[in-house]
Amino acid sequence: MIEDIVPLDGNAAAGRLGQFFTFDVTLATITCGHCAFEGPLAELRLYGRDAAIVLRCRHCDAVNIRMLETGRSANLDLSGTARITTSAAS
Amino acid sequence: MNSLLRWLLATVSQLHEETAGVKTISFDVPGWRGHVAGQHVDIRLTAEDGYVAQRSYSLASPAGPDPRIQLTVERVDDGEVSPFLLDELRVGDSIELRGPIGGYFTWSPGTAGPLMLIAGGSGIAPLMSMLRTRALASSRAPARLLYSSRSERHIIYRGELDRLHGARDGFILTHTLTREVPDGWTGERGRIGRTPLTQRGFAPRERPHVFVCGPTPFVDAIADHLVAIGHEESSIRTERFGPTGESK
Repeated sequence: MIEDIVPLDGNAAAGRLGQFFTFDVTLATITCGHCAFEGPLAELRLYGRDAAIVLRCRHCDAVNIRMLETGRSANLDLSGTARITTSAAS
Repeated sequence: MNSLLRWLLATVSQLHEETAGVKTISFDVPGWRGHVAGQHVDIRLTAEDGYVAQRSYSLASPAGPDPRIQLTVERVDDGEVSPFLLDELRVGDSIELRGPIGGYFTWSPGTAGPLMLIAGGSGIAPLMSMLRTRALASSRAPARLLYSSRSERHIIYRGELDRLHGARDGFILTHTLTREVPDGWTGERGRIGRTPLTQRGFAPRERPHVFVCGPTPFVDAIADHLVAIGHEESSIRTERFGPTGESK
Protein backbone atom coordinates (compact mmCIF):
# COMPACT_ATOMS: atom_id res chain seq x y z
CA MET A 1 0.00 0.00 0.00
CA ILE A 2 1.15 3.53 -0.72
CA GLU A 3 1.58 4.40 2.96
CA ASP A 4 4.46 1.93 3.07
CA ILE A 5 6.42 3.11 0.04
CA VAL A 6 6.54 6.85 0.75
CA PRO A 7 9.29 7.33 3.32
CA LEU A 8 8.98 9.23 6.59
CA ASP A 9 11.83 10.43 8.84
CA GLY A 10 13.69 8.33 11.35
CA ASN A 11 12.17 10.69 13.93
CA ALA A 12 8.86 8.83 13.56
CA ALA A 13 10.52 5.53 14.57
CA ALA A 14 11.77 6.90 17.89
CA GLY A 15 8.88 5.54 19.96
CA ARG A 16 9.43 1.93 18.97
CA LEU A 17 13.24 2.20 19.02
CA GLY A 18 12.85 3.53 22.57
CA GLN A 19 12.25 -0.07 23.61
CA PHE A 20 15.99 -0.64 23.15
CA PHE A 21 17.62 2.63 24.22
CA THR A 22 17.62 4.68 27.38
CA PHE A 23 18.42 7.97 25.63
CA ASP A 24 16.55 10.00 23.00
CA VAL A 25 17.54 8.16 19.83
CA THR A 26 16.41 10.99 17.53
CA LEU A 27 19.50 12.96 18.54
CA ALA A 28 21.94 10.06 18.26
CA THR A 29 24.37 10.09 15.33
CA ILE A 30 24.21 7.05 13.08
CA THR A 31 27.20 6.11 10.92
CA CYS A 32 26.12 4.21 7.82
CA GLY A 33 27.72 0.77 7.59
CA HIS A 34 27.87 1.08 3.81
CA CYS A 35 29.04 4.63 2.94
CA ALA A 36 30.08 5.89 6.42
CA PHE A 37 27.78 8.93 6.11
CA GLU A 38 27.07 10.39 9.56
CA GLY A 39 23.84 12.08 10.59
CA PRO A 40 21.08 12.18 13.21
CA LEU A 41 18.91 9.09 13.40
CA ALA A 42 15.94 11.43 12.97
CA GLU A 43 17.08 12.13 9.40
CA LEU A 44 17.22 8.52 8.23
CA ARG A 45 14.50 7.48 5.78
CA LEU A 46 11.81 5.38 7.41
CA TYR A 47 9.94 2.72 5.43
CA GLY A 48 7.14 0.58 6.80
CA ARG A 49 4.63 1.49 9.49
CA ASP A 50 3.50 -1.50 11.47
CA ALA A 51 5.18 -4.77 12.47
CA ALA A 52 8.29 -4.26 10.36
CA ILE A 53 10.26 -1.07 9.70
CA VAL A 54 13.46 -0.28 7.85
CA LEU A 55 15.62 2.83 8.25
CA ARG A 56 17.81 3.70 5.28
CA CYS A 57 20.78 6.03 4.90
CA ARG A 58 19.65 9.31 3.32
CA HIS A 59 22.93 9.52 1.44
CA CYS A 60 23.37 6.05 -0.16
CA ASP A 61 19.98 4.45 0.63
CA ALA A 62 21.58 1.39 2.25
CA VAL A 63 19.62 -0.26 5.05
CA ASN A 64 21.03 0.85 8.41
CA ILE A 65 18.42 -0.43 10.86
CA ARG A 66 15.66 -3.04 10.73
CA MET A 67 13.09 -3.65 13.42
CA LEU A 68 10.48 -6.36 13.71
CA GLU A 69 7.79 -6.38 16.36
CA THR A 70 5.41 -9.20 17.10
CA GLY A 71 2.99 -9.47 19.98
CA ARG A 72 5.62 -11.40 21.91
CA SER A 73 8.95 -9.78 21.06
CA ALA A 74 10.82 -6.94 19.42
CA ASN A 75 13.89 -7.58 17.26
CA LEU A 76 16.43 -4.93 16.28
CA ASP A 77 18.95 -5.59 13.48
CA LEU A 78 21.81 -3.06 13.46
CA SER A 79 24.05 -4.92 11.00
CA GLY A 80 23.84 -1.99 8.53
CA THR A 81 25.07 0.53 11.11
CA ALA A 82 28.77 1.07 11.73
CA ARG A 83 28.35 3.20 14.88
CA ILE A 84 25.80 4.91 17.13
CA THR A 85 27.11 8.02 18.86
CA THR A 86 25.33 9.95 21.58
CA SER A 87 26.33 13.26 23.05
CA ALA A 88 26.35 13.73 26.79
CA ALA A 89 23.30 15.98 26.49
CA SER A 90 21.05 13.41 24.81
CA MET B 1 13.29 1.03 31.33
CA ASN B 2 12.74 3.94 29.01
CA SER B 3 9.66 5.94 29.98
CA LEU B 4 8.90 6.51 26.28
CA LEU B 5 7.93 2.88 26.19
CA ARG B 6 4.89 3.11 28.34
CA TRP B 7 1.55 2.94 26.56
CA LEU B 8 -0.95 5.31 28.16
CA LEU B 9 -4.72 5.21 27.95
CA ALA B 10 -5.96 8.43 26.35
CA THR B 11 -9.64 9.38 26.54
CA VAL B 12 -11.25 11.60 23.93
CA SER B 13 -12.61 14.77 25.53
CA GLN B 14 -13.46 16.78 22.43
CA LEU B 15 -13.67 16.45 18.64
CA HIS B 16 -13.50 19.50 16.41
CA GLU B 17 -13.79 19.51 12.63
CA GLU B 18 -11.14 21.91 11.29
CA THR B 19 -11.75 21.42 7.55
CA ALA B 20 -13.23 18.64 5.42
CA GLY B 21 -11.22 15.53 6.29
CA VAL B 22 -9.29 17.15 9.14
CA LYS B 23 -10.21 17.00 12.82
CA THR B 24 -8.57 18.12 16.03
CA ILE B 25 -8.95 15.46 18.69
CA SER B 26 -8.49 16.45 22.34
CA PHE B 27 -7.45 13.73 24.76
CA ASP B 28 -7.13 13.49 28.53
CA VAL B 29 -4.00 11.45 29.23
CA PRO B 30 -3.47 10.48 32.89
CA GLY B 31 0.26 9.99 33.47
CA TRP B 32 1.27 12.43 30.71
CA ARG B 33 4.62 13.95 31.65
CA GLY B 34 4.39 17.11 29.54
CA HIS B 35 5.94 17.92 26.17
CA VAL B 36 7.88 20.50 24.21
CA ALA B 37 6.65 21.98 20.92
CA GLY B 38 7.23 19.78 17.89
CA GLN B 39 7.17 16.39 19.62
CA HIS B 40 4.89 13.56 18.55
CA VAL B 41 3.04 10.57 19.94
CA ASP B 42 2.55 7.04 18.65
CA ILE B 43 -1.00 5.73 18.47
CA ARG B 44 -1.63 1.98 18.55
CA LEU B 45 -4.84 0.36 17.43
CA THR B 46 -5.35 -3.35 18.05
CA ALA B 47 -8.02 -5.26 16.12
CA GLU B 48 -10.03 -8.06 17.68
CA ASP B 49 -7.91 -10.62 15.81
CA GLY B 50 -4.73 -9.13 17.33
CA TYR B 51 -3.63 -7.15 14.25
CA VAL B 52 -1.84 -4.00 15.36
CA ALA B 53 -1.58 -0.72 13.42
CA GLN B 54 0.70 2.02 14.71
CA ARG B 55 1.15 5.61 13.48
CA SER B 56 2.87 8.77 14.70
CA TYR B 57 0.98 12.06 15.09
CA SER B 58 2.38 15.46 15.99
CA LEU B 59 1.16 17.25 19.08
CA ALA B 60 -0.67 20.44 18.14
CA SER B 61 -1.27 21.73 21.67
CA PRO B 62 1.25 24.10 23.25
CA ALA B 63 4.23 22.87 25.27
CA GLY B 64 3.77 22.31 28.98
CA PRO B 65 2.71 19.79 31.60
CA ASP B 66 -1.04 19.83 30.77
CA PRO B 67 -2.33 16.23 30.42
CA ARG B 68 -5.00 17.51 28.02
CA ILE B 69 -3.33 17.21 24.63
CA GLN B 70 -4.48 17.81 21.06
CA LEU B 71 -3.70 16.06 17.80
CA THR B 72 -4.84 17.35 14.41
CA VAL B 73 -5.42 14.42 12.09
CA GLU B 74 -5.97 14.41 8.33
CA ARG B 75 -7.63 11.54 6.54
CA VAL B 76 -5.25 9.40 4.49
CA ASP B 77 -7.38 7.60 1.92
CA ASP B 78 -6.78 3.85 2.23
CA GLY B 79 -5.05 4.59 5.54
CA GLU B 80 -5.47 2.11 8.37
CA VAL B 81 -5.54 4.51 11.30
CA SER B 82 -6.76 7.97 10.26
CA PRO B 83 -10.20 6.80 8.98
CA PHE B 84 -10.78 5.21 12.39
CA LEU B 85 -9.69 8.35 14.24
CA LEU B 86 -11.85 10.59 12.06
CA ASP B 87 -14.96 8.47 11.56
CA GLU B 88 -15.28 6.06 14.47
CA LEU B 89 -13.81 7.77 17.50
CA ARG B 90 -16.34 9.42 19.85
CA VAL B 91 -16.04 11.57 22.96
CA GLY B 92 -15.45 9.24 25.91
CA ASP B 93 -13.67 6.57 23.85
CA SER B 94 -10.15 5.53 24.89
CA ILE B 95 -7.17 4.55 22.76
CA GLU B 96 -3.54 3.61 23.45
CA LEU B 97 -0.87 6.25 22.98
CA ARG B 98 2.77 6.73 23.97
CA GLY B 99 4.80 9.89 24.17
CA PRO B 100 5.93 12.57 24.02
CA ILE B 101 8.61 11.38 21.60
CA GLY B 102 11.65 12.98 19.98
CA GLY B 103 13.94 15.89 20.80
CA TYR B 104 14.98 16.47 17.19
CA PHE B 105 12.06 18.36 15.66
CA THR B 106 11.52 20.67 18.63
CA TRP B 107 11.59 24.35 19.53
CA SER B 108 11.46 26.20 22.86
CA PRO B 109 10.85 29.92 23.45
CA GLY B 110 14.33 30.29 24.97
CA THR B 111 16.00 29.38 21.69
CA ALA B 112 18.06 32.23 20.25
CA GLY B 113 17.47 33.20 16.63
CA PRO B 114 14.43 33.62 14.37
CA LEU B 115 11.90 30.86 13.83
CA MET B 116 11.08 30.01 10.20
CA LEU B 117 8.18 27.63 9.67
CA ILE B 118 7.01 26.08 6.42
CA ALA B 119 3.88 23.94 6.38
CA GLY B 120 2.02 21.96 3.76
CA GLY B 121 -1.59 21.05 4.61
CA SER B 122 -1.95 19.30 7.96
CA GLY B 123 1.83 19.63 8.39
CA ILE B 124 0.82 22.80 10.21
CA ALA B 125 0.11 20.77 13.40
CA PRO B 126 3.57 20.67 15.08
CA LEU B 127 4.33 24.19 13.83
CA MET B 128 1.08 25.38 15.43
CA SER B 129 2.31 23.89 18.70
CA MET B 130 5.44 26.04 18.32
CA LEU B 131 3.41 29.20 17.56
CA ARG B 132 1.01 28.55 20.44
CA THR B 133 3.97 27.95 22.75
CA ARG B 134 5.61 31.15 21.54
CA ALA B 135 2.40 33.16 22.14
CA LEU B 136 1.80 31.71 25.60
CA ALA B 137 5.38 32.56 26.59
CA SER B 138 4.84 36.14 25.31
CA SER B 139 7.98 35.53 23.25
CA ARG B 140 8.86 38.24 20.76
CA ALA B 141 11.29 36.03 18.87
CA PRO B 142 10.91 36.89 15.18
CA ALA B 143 8.80 34.16 13.58
CA ARG B 144 7.49 33.62 10.09
CA LEU B 145 5.16 30.96 8.73
CA LEU B 146 4.68 30.07 5.07
CA TYR B 147 1.61 27.91 4.87
CA SER B 148 0.59 26.07 1.72
CA SER B 149 -3.02 24.93 1.35
CA ARG B 150 -5.00 23.64 -1.61
CA SER B 151 -7.69 26.30 -1.29
CA GLU B 152 -9.10 28.75 1.26
CA ARG B 153 -11.48 26.15 2.68
CA HIS B 154 -8.53 23.81 3.30
CA ILE B 155 -6.73 26.25 5.62
CA ILE B 156 -6.49 24.71 9.10
CA TYR B 157 -6.51 26.97 12.22
CA ARG B 158 -7.29 29.95 9.97
CA GLY B 159 -8.91 32.21 12.55
CA GLU B 160 -6.29 31.51 15.20
CA LEU B 161 -3.42 32.11 12.77
CA ASP B 162 -5.00 35.44 11.75
CA ARG B 163 -5.23 36.46 15.41
CA LEU B 164 -1.59 35.50 16.04
CA HIS B 165 -0.53 37.50 12.98
CA GLY B 166 -2.69 40.44 14.10
CA ALA B 167 -0.97 40.56 17.50
CA ARG B 168 2.01 42.27 15.81
CA ASP B 169 4.44 40.66 18.21
CA GLY B 170 7.01 39.68 15.61
CA PHE B 171 5.07 36.87 13.93
CA ILE B 172 4.29 37.19 10.22
CA LEU B 173 1.98 34.79 8.38
CA THR B 174 2.01 34.16 4.63
CA HIS B 175 -0.55 31.87 3.02
CA THR B 176 -0.18 30.31 -0.38
CA LEU B 177 -2.96 28.52 -2.25
CA THR B 178 -1.99 25.85 -4.75
CA ARG B 179 -5.27 25.04 -6.54
CA GLU B 180 -8.22 27.40 -6.14
CA VAL B 181 -7.35 31.06 -5.69
CA PRO B 182 -10.33 33.37 -5.00
CA ASP B 183 -10.70 36.84 -6.51
CA GLY B 184 -8.97 39.50 -4.40
CA TRP B 185 -6.58 36.98 -2.76
CA THR B 186 -3.63 38.87 -1.30
CA GLY B 187 -1.42 35.92 -0.36
CA GLU B 188 0.90 33.90 -2.53
CA ARG B 189 -0.23 31.58 -5.30
CA GLY B 190 1.09 28.20 -6.34
CA ARG B 191 3.57 25.91 -4.70
CA ILE B 192 6.23 27.37 -2.43
CA GLY B 193 9.38 27.91 -4.49
CA ARG B 194 12.56 29.82 -3.99
CA THR B 195 11.01 33.28 -4.47
CA PRO B 196 8.53 33.19 -1.54
CA LEU B 197 11.14 31.43 0.62
CA THR B 198 13.52 34.31 -0.08
CA GLN B 199 11.01 37.16 0.10
CA ARG B 200 8.78 35.92 2.93
CA GLY B 201 11.27 33.88 4.94
CA PHE B 202 14.42 34.86 6.79
CA ALA B 203 17.75 35.18 4.98
CA PRO B 204 20.40 32.52 5.68
CA ARG B 205 22.62 35.19 7.31
CA GLU B 206 19.92 35.75 9.95
CA ARG B 207 20.57 32.15 11.00
CA PRO B 208 16.94 31.08 11.43
CA HIS B 209 15.87 27.75 12.88
CA VAL B 210 13.90 26.25 10.01
CA PHE B 211 11.15 23.66 10.50
CA VAL B 212 9.42 22.09 7.50
CA CYS B 213 6.43 19.75 7.88
CA GLY B 214 4.08 18.30 5.30
CA PRO B 215 3.61 15.48 2.83
CA THR B 216 6.86 13.76 1.83
CA PRO B 217 7.11 15.25 -1.71
CA PHE B 218 6.40 18.75 -0.31
CA VAL B 219 9.11 18.48 2.34
CA ASP B 220 11.64 17.05 -0.13
CA ALA B 221 11.03 19.97 -2.52
CA ILE B 222 11.20 22.67 0.18
CA ALA B 223 14.37 21.22 1.71
CA ASP B 224 16.07 21.31 -1.71
CA HIS B 225 14.96 24.93 -2.29
CA LEU B 226 16.22 26.00 1.14
CA VAL B 227 19.66 24.53 0.56
CA ALA B 228 19.75 26.07 -2.93
CA ILE B 229 19.13 29.59 -1.54
CA GLY B 230 21.91 29.18 0.99
CA HIS B 231 20.42 27.80 4.20
CA GLU B 232 22.72 25.46 6.10
CA GLU B 233 21.50 21.88 6.03
CA SER B 234 22.05 21.65 9.76
CA SER B 235 19.63 24.56 10.36
CA ILE B 236 16.77 22.75 8.58
CA ARG B 237 14.62 20.25 10.46
CA THR B 238 12.09 18.24 8.53
CA GLU B 239 9.07 16.11 9.36
CA ARG B 240 7.47 14.09 6.56
CA PHE B 241 4.08 12.55 7.08
CA GLY B 242 3.79 10.47 3.93
CA PRO B 243 1.25 10.68 1.13
CA THR B 244 -1.92 12.77 0.96
CA GLY B 245 -4.00 14.26 -1.83
CA GLU B 246 -2.05 17.49 -1.27
CA SER B 247 0.71 16.66 -3.75
CA LYS B 248 -1.63 16.28 -6.72
